Amino acid sequence: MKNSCFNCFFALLLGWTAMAWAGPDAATLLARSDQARGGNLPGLIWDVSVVNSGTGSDEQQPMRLRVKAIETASVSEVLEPLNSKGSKMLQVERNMWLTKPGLLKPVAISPRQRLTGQAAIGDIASTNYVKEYEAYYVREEAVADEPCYLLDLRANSSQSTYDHVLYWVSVKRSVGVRAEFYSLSGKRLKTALFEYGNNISVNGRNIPFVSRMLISDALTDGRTELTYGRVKVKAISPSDFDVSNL
Amino acid sequence: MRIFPMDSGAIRFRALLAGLLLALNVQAQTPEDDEDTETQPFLRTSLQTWFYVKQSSLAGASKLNPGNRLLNIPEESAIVDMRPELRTSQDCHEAVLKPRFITRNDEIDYRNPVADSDSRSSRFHWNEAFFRSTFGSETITAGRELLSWGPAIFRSPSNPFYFDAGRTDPLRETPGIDLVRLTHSLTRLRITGARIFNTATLNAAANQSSTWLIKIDALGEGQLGSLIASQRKDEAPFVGAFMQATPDDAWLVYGEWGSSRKRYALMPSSTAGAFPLQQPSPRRSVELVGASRTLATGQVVTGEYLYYGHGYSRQDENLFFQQLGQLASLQGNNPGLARAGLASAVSYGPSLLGRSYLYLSWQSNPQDTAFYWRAESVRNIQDRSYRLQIYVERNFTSRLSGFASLSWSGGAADTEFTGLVHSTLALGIKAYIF
Repeated sequence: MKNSCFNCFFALLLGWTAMAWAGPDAATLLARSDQARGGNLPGLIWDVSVVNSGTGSDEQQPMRLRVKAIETASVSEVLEPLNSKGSKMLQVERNMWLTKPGLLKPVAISPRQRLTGQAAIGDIASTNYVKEYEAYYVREEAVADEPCYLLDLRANSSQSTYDHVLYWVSVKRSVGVRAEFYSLSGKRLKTALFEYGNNISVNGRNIPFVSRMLISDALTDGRTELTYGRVKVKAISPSDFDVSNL
Repeated sequence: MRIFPMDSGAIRFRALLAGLLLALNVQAQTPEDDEDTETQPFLRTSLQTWFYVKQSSLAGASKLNPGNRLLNIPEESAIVDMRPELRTSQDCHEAVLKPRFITRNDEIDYRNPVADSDSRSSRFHWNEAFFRSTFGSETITAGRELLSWGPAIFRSPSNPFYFDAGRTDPLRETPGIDLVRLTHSLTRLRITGARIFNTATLNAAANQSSTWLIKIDALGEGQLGSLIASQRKDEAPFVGAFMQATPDDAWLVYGEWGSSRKRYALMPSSTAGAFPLQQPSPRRSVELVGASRTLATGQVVTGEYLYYGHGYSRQDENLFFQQLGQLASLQGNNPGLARAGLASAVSYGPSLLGRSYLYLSWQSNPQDTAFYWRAESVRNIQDRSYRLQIYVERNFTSRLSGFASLSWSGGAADTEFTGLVHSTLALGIKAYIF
């Protein structure tokens, strides 16, 4: 009797220790960090400024866009520079359209276009990694002396902008601070660092929100700085994502 | 030829409107606090002005347009095209105004013995002007709106109004039509009902006023399908459909279809004289299949095949040109009959002469703002005539870009693309005022 009690206690202790060593739940971490980048919100409207540097950046003018996004759709409109003002890109799941004033009514384009602009639409629109990726906890690792959980994200949806992402989530703030984006072949495409200088109110709570994303191209010296501002959490009508209303 | 002439009244009117829009733009750009969009309107204004010259080389011995006295196609043109836009929205309401001012000076060569003509004209029109309100899942739009849809570029068989939506001509701006439409949006389904009052902006002679339309869109994760039906009083209904899908990230595949009876069908005949007209035409279908691939660089390659059921067989196309030749030869003896016959060919002839077309295009990354180019070719597979077009546009500053467009046609005599214009070159600049 004594032996069976001891064995039960030992088994429970072993299980509890294993759980402790297994680390935090990756999906929960990802969901919390998503909210700081626009995920799991009823709708989001924000302005994004895009500035490029590095070789060849002289030809790429700084841009300012207004973005509206919900879970499955986003529409971005160019506000500056003047020669692109009014251009829009609409994404509804894997369907995409592009419109440029003076040239064309909305033209359907393939999903690959979401990666080929100055900033990928997945970078400027809201983030919903918890739905688009399978998350695995790897280990704790510091980024700029800030303790973080390193997560390995694998695309599980055709809507995912990237096939594979390594994502560092702050232990203390539960926000993503660094990301590395990889292609299906394992080639690193770019690296991103995030800052959270904005605040939004969600269900009466003030939560930090992304204010800056610095993207470094892995193959060249190109860098893109995205600055997010005028953030509003607001339910958005589905008609805003209707291609016939562009 | 005077370059970019304008009379003083036109100058004053344009200056006044530009000043008004500039003032509105200043107001729109005034630094805002973190305003609540629930209470303050969002106002956006813009003004582009295009200045360009265009030179066309006309077909040497055109049977459809002998001596250029029927169509008066200018050989040289200088054009100023002002494109202001005002867009304002508050809460769930939006208003869009797109007036257009075009001033042009044309030099028309009527060939001997008639003297050349220098023609100057100014035109104001509303390209679009509509009001839109959204109430939950319902959206209502009223006014003049560009009601085009579908993934195809060369032609849109699924659209009863915009068969040629102007997507192959970068210099052309397709006008809206006058309508009221109501759209009910669900998660993956949209139903639109519309009443069209006037389509004279597209074709004054074939105005599809008093037309009812219903359109149902079904949206999948990577697919979109649409069914369209329209009916004008005392005319046969139009039915159409389109479908697009993205089988993987790089590919977009699509198809469009439409079935209709035209008001008139011009019937080529071996009998000398005017073309017989069949009213209405037999019901015919138009089908298009296409695919586009986005390369890793962002460049897009597109191919489309169109079957145009309202067009002529090769035999009928030969008869068409034969009859045109007979009418043209009557100009000396019976100019009235000749002109009436040729005019009917222009007015009532099919939109495309043949039945089989191949369209190919290759363009730079459409998201590139510094430099954009596009190369296109259209081939009438039956008569083997073709048209090639290249368009390039380069941004010099955020307020100025330059563009060039070159098109040229080739093929045997008496074929579709060699019948009117051999080549056209346009050079110009776009000024982005605000």
